[in-house]
Amino acid sequence: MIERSVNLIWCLIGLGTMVNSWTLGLIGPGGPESGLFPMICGVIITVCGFALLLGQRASRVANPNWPRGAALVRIGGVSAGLVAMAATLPYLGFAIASAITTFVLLQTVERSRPIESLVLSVVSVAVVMYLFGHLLGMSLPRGPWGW
Amino acid sequence: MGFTVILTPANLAFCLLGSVIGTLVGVLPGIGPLAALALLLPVTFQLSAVAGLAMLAAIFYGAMYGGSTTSILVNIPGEAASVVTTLDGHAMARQGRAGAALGMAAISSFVAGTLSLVALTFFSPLLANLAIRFGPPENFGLMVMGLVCTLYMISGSKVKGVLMMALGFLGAIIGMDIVNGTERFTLGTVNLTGGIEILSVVIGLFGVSEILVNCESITKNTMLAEKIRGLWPTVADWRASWKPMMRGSGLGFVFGLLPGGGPVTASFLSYAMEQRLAKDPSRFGKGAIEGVAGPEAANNAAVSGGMIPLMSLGIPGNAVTALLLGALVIQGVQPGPLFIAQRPDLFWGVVASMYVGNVFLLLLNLPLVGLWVQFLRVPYRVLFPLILLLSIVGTYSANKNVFDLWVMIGFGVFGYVLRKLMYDFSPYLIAFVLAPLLEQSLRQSLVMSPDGMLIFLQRPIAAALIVISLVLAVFVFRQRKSSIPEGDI
Repeated sequence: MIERSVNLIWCLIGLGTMVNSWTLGLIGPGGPESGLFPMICGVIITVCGFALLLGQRASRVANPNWPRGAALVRIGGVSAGLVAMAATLPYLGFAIASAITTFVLLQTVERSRPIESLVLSVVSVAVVMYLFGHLLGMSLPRGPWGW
Repeated sequence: MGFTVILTPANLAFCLLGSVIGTLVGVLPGIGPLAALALLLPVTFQLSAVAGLAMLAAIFYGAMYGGSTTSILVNIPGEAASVVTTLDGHAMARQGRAGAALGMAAISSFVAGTLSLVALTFFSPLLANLAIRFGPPENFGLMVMGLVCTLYMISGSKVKGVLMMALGFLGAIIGMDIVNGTERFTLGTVNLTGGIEILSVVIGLFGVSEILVNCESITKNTMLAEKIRGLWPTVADWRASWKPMMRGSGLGFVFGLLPGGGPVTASFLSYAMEQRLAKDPSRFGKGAIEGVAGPEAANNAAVSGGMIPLMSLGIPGNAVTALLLGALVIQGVQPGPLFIAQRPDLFWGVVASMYVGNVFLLLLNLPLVGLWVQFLRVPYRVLFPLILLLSIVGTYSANKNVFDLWVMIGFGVFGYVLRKLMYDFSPYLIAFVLAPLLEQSLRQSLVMSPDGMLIFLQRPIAAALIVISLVLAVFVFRQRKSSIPEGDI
């Protein structure tokens, strides 16, 4: 089901690319236009997408080993954590957003003890901020309190 | 010139840092050299081109050294190119000969690394001189052949490989067409006008998706508790190993040179070759030191071999060299036939750094092996926050744009799904990096040709390259699925 959905997505991407490329133009008076190269890509993606979609059952992945139970919770948790971090970064700044996210992830996904999670979160954020913010001079987003 | 460039305190320090990080990455299962390179690529923004490249290259070949430690002691390969080392290396450890296995792995890596660097020193300028005569049609043909060779080497579905390649091209051309100024596939958003940031793609596909895979389960390491002693191999070990070391060096160098080849393929082939050539093949898998010496030599030699098409032709042969190409482009350097002539300081500086790095790694991996062993006791939950934060910082640092984080997360999650469906990401990355050059070559060829696409057949070298590509493409789709794992390292 998931594999067929992915194959369908490829077909849609390929067809969309071909349509968009056509509007950009393929060959003009001055030579190749912006749409030529993407048109070639679109054709290849469409052909491959349909080949995978309509291909024989034997060519599909027999056992993708999708995560279940605790594994699915862990993956969902990490993904949600990353999303939360990206969403809160501009408002809370790197230090606070990172510390909260890693603390929550260590508590929920890794099931660490609270004090261990807190120490690991704070130390990790401090190390990264020192390495990148101070030693390498990268500017990291600052929160409402200036850090 | 190269040693003049590299033998400065700053450049040496970054070469050493890369060697340390590479060894650590190789030792620790759960993070491969490609993910590490992706995560540390943003660091190179702040460094000079020589220091940045030297560090990244050191991480790559350092991981080859470090991967054998975990393979031998824990029976878990630290990275994919060390898989075969588990077969005989761990068997030797169980027999109380972990020291000899570790010592021979480090020495083989050093010898192979040094020999292949000598070959790199001589081959690269020769190849670059030849390639200077190439025009746009020849460059196009060469890149197409390189891409077909990449497909030839990957395991699994070739249709998926072609698809990944086409998607990589498409991903790279999102943004403004520099020739016409037309916006392509930007979906009306300003954030895509400049294109998709390569760091978001690389860190998402190779870093975040790897984190998600590792999060599925908790790996418990059972490490052999014996104190490691006797690192120096015996005379009998040397007698048994020197020929596999030489053969592994040659094989690894050739396979590293071929687009699509790399350390993983080289190490498996070396093991198979040594087993076939051995007087008593039944010893393999039970502690034959040749099964350690040959593959470890091969995987290190392949690193230098892989640098030749990258530096001389500007064509990456595998995902790691594609990333190194990306790093060079970010630094404003375009590798290719003119690279050695235009930037001899950078080229020879990187080559010299690899000589120096090999010495560092021998010193790090022999006397300090006990220290690396301690890192194996570090639980993944301690590393996990650091890796996550590095992913975020690394991606954000490129453009200071949160949009890049969303792209990274999207590629990471989708990359995880695609890993489950047995997609190989190497073709995607190689195509993503090569796309601007490929399109430029195609357009230039068509502009200079009054006969359109026939120019690729009218020029002998371009025609030969296209014909070879077509023949290889036929072989690719007739080839049976290989069981050798390659691709994401």
